[in-house]
Amino acid sequence: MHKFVRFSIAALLALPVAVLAHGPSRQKAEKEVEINAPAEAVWKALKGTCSIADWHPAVATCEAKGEGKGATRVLTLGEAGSGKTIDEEFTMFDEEKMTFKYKITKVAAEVLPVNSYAAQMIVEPAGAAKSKVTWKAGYYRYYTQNDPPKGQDEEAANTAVNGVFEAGMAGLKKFIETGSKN
Amino acid sequence: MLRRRGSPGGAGAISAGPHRFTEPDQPPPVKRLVVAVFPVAAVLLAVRLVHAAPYAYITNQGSNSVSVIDLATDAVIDTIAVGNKPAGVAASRSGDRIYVSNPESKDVSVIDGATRTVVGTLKVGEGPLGIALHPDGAALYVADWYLNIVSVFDTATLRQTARIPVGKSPSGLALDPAGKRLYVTNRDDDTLSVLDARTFAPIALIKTGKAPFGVTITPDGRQAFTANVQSSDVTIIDTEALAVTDTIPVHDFPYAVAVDTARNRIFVTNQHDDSVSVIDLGLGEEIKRVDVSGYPEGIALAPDGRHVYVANWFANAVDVISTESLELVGNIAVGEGCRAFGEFIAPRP
Repeated sequence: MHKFVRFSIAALLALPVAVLAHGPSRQKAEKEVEINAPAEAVWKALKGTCSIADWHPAVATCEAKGEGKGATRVLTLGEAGSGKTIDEEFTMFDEEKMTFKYKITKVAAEVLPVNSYAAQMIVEPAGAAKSKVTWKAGYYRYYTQNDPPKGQDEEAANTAVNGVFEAGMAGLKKFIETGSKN
Repeated sequence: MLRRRGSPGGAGAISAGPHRFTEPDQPPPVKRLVVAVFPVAAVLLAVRLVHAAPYAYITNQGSNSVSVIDLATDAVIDTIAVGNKPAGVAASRSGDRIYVSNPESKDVSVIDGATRTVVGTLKVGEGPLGIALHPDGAALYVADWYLNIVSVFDTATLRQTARIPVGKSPSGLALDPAGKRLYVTNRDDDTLSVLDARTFAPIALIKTGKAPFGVTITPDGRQAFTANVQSSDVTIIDTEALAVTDTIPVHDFPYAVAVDTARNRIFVTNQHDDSVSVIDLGLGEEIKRVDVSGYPEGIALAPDGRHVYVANWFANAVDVISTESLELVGNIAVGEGCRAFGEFIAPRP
């Protein structure tokens, strides 16, 4: 009897862990940066399928197929040949509105722990020689089943995407204003 | 391609709708009385309609709340705290009860429409998302994304009364207005389950486009529409023949469908395209693509038929589209990550 009571208390203490575990819900990230250059110049530096390799400090190399909507690219992160790759596809491209959307079609959890990731970049004028760039994304954590392991949960996904956005936006600003990303 | 133009069950079923209100064999005395009273009644009805405008209940996944919008003014009149990461919503026909699914707390919040407070919480399996109420208000159906079942609850006792096995990753739920059948989209099976709403006996399993999510039934019960996320199209099903009659292409990641019976149109939210497709069911194609504020999800037609309300997950706002001009006529700020997946408009209680 005594043993049973103790066991029940242990079971109750263990319960909150089980209750905390949950299925995925969609996450979002958004980052804006103001750049000291006209919107047209910023758009020109941004719109190429592999432009991201020019300005994103985490992107070592980029392999492009096509331009505009339907174009695909494979990004290699870290150092060239690291094997840390992200496959992406442009799903919308609007020259007039200076915006495009893309999605990740293949990525490993160790590279970017996200699932069903879809993002957009938008360039808007902000005064005569200034512009605003917005980068936003919707995504799920990498682990789509119930009860994610550490590193594949919402926290890991959000930390990773926000890191990519912050480094990228700083890199883009630096690249356009100084001509170098590093 | 499943697409077939001018196939049966398309426009015909919808345009039959308004005629059901006409009564050809009414006795003459009543007719005269109706004629005499009509102008007064029309005025009274118009006044009553203004005062009795319904409410929209918008689930805000990021802020764990429900925004209540008064459709007379399009103003948010209240915000109700619910469970974790609310997504699905089902409001009763009378507006006295609103049920909200909370995937992260694995439960359903029961809201009293009159006091706008949570009066109960139902524990539901592993992954409650899609939710629908029987037209009589007595049975609540909750799709469980992980257990591949639909749980049924008695709304009087708040007790579970059945667990119905369905396909893989059940997401959208809908009942026909007569309450005879339950429709369930099985996202990872590319199918629509049709079940008897009372006995839960399977009636049909229909192949849809890829990854069907939302399902909507016409007011006359004769057609079902599924929004297919991965094939970017809408499957149209004749519910009498239990067969697919058409497949209409829309845009990236369609999520849910609203029906405008009077104009023989449907409205489809395209999540990744930030747009709403307006489909003419007679033509069987898109007649307009309305740009909305960002990542549209839940969509519903207001009972007066004049506006469509669209919850925009990324923009944290509900857009209002005029069914006449097909232009955006309003934008209502709500909570973080609004979704409103289900029947979110109901009369004020």
